[in-house]
Amino acid sequence: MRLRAGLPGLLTPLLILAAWEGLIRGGVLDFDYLPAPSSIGSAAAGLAAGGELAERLLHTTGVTLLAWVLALAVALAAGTLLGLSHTAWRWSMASVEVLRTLPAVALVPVALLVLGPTTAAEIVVAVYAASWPLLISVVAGLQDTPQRLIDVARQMRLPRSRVVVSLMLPAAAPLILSGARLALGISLIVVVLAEMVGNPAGLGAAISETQMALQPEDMWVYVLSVAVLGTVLNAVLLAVSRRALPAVLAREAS
Amino acid sequence: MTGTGTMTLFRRGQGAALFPPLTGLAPLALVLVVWQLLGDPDSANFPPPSSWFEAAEAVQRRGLLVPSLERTLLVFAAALAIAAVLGAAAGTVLGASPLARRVFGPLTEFLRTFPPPAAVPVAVLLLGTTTTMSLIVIVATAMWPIVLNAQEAVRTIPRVRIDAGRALGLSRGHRLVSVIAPGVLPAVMVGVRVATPICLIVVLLAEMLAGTGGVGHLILERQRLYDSAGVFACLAIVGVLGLLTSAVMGVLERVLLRNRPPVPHGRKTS
Repeated sequence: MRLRAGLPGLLTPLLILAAWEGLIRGGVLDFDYLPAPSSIGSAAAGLAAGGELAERLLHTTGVTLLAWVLALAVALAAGTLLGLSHTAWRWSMASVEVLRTLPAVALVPVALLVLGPTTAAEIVVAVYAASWPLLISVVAGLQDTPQRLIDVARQMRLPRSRVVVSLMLPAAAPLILSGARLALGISLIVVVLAEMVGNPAGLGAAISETQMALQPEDMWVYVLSVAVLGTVLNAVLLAVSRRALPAVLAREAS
Repeated sequence: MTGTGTMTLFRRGQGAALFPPLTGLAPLALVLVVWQLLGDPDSANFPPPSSWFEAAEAVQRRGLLVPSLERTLLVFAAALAIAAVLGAAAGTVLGASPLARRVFGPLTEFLRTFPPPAAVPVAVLLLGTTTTMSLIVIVATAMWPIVLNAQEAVRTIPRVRIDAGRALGLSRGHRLVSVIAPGVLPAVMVGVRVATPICLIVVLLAEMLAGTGGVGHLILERQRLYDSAGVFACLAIVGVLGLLTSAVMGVLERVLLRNRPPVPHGRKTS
């Protein structure tokens, strides 16, 4: 992952935008629902000035992050249990492996059925979907703790809880963080989908509404907002993990 | 968004993941049994498992289930195959050429994190609710693990091997086939395994949002008709699909790569 965007890297999107604008102005590209970047820009300005964009963005971002934090809590608790207790692992890991392969998007209709088109439905299904990659990474991370660390802890007669919190979980942190990035992306996908087909709030609902109302400029604004939100969330989490775990990222950055 | 953290997670030691002991299925089985015994057959929210079969039969009597399933599987297989070929090609180019990386790097980062549900409406507006549209959206969102793995693999092919190919006087095309391709194949296979669940998710998404038929469309339609047993029946079918596709990919990977050294541990691509 390279965030160092050089001049050519920035130039490409600009060139594409310019060509897009030019082709539409020149009448070469003539899709009914493909507005020029400039009209998307002015639509964005309009929606931003009305406060609608900010409100929708806030809802989707809030729900995504809330679901992600809840998933993190669930996965850390359950993952620590499964990662430390061999009995718990033997008697439930296969269930985890089976449930994990269930495509999360198929649960959106179930959540809507049970909870109705509510924000609660969004949150529940996003927590469920985002928990699996986290859970798996916590379990794998704990089970992979280097024997050396555990030996040292034994030598120092540290209590078991201390070993887990100060040695094993930090040792598992790189794996947990990559699981966390995966989970954040999944959380956003599920939240947006739940909004598109159910709960009439947030960016997802805005996309469906503007699509049905045949307002392509506004729809493009919301679609790009979701895309930017995804990129920003990923970049922020990556920056935070770089700050927190410099040693790991030296290896990853190669 | 869907980075390939899972890749390293399941490559502990050698080869692909081993399934944990089957005793671990007990909690899942217990939940289903208790649900069946205590569940109210007329429940509007949680109908017991036996009613799922009746609902599935009812849907099939109207001739909806099997054709939907066929469609979903067909689109899934086609999209994954196209994603594998395109992803391997794009990854090889990006991995081999620093210029291509500099020019397209930030753009691919943006596209890679593009949330698939937002991509579907755009494609629907531009291309209509056609199968071509579905395929384009699915390939465009599911190919990234393959691209990144291939790119990483090309970058880490030992310089010596490429020079050896040169020294032997192999042509460019020949070098691609006998030096680059064998170096990239294992990574592409791992990428395909990671892309498999993503591909299935986006197939279902496209079906839900574009109404192009298939199981995704069916499950949403059942929900809108408040046929809860039907929704759970579809969910169970989708679950089996997810399990089968990932199992098939795991086996395929092991068979195709049986004579090759495992991909080095810690090749991160996210």
